[in-house]
Amino acid sequence: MSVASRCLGLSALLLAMTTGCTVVNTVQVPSVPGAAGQSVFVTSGDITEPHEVVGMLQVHKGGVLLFGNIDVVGTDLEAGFKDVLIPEVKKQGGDGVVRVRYAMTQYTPLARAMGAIFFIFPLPSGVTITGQIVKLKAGAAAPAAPAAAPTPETKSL
Amino acid sequence: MKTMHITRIPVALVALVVASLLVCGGCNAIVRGGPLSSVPHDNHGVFLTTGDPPAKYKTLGFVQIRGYGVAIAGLTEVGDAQLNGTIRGTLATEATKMGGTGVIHIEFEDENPQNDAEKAQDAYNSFRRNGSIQTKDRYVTVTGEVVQFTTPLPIQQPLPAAVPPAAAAPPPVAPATPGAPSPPQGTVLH
Repeated sequence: MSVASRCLGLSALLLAMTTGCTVVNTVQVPSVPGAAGQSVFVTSGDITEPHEVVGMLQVHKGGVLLFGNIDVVGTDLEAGFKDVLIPEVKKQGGDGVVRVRYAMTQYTPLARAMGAIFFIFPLPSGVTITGQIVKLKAGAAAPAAPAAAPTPETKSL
Repeated sequence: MKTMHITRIPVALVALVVASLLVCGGCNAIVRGGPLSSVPHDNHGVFLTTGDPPAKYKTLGFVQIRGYGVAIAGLTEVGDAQLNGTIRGTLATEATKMGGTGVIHIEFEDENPQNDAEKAQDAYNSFRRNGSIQTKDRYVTVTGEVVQFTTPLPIQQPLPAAVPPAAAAPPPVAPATPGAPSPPQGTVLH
């Protein structure tokens, strides 16, 4: 392979790679850990308020991405937390979940494009969440008034 | 005088020993990342920690990020598969978008780090005669809980400004003894 072709290949690779290949998934479940009187709190940490452990919980939602992009059944964090985890906690009689760990399948844009091209092979996708369901005992504090969302100019930690 | 016949030493054995040394020394794939937030906090940017928060907080949500990059010829990487860029860049940016002032319980995994032997092999295969540039896909996955602190974080106090020598306090002066000559002003007594 000549030096020129190597440089050309390297340049093309650099161009392709610097266009950004980060996949971000978020879910918003606002709550105050350990506070009573709210729907269900979810935290990856622990709480210091007196509580009773209801049980361990693992939820999983699996499916496929049609054409590399269409999530038919919902296999992202949003669906995992709001459609499966929180309803299950309510069903078990818990006030919240602590020590939450989660993982979902994430495909890069390139992989999704390949999935669209080879559409007869849907991409497998899934989300798994684990945690410990807790029920607060009497005397747990009510949630404090939420602080106003900080603006970039007045960010105070 | 006895002479040692080096040629009798099996070449294959020597090669095996050398290869074993190389392999044992190069098997460790180490991925380093920069420091996250300290306690007390320096009050710059989003508070990032792999552990518990140092203040009370409200949960806003959860984030999972998967950064993709490519290692080229075992020498360099392009893309977003570095811990620093993913955690201190993308994760902090997403937390800010959600209105968060911190991300706690950050977990990270570099899914397929290269060890030194693999890097050397890729470099050799890329630049040897009739070789081709070796590339390897790289992935980093990061998760964290986005929070908004409801009580103030312990903030690191700024260091006092350096005092100029002229304004510095005068050195301690030994008590004058009666009859002894007083030292000239500005002399440091030892």
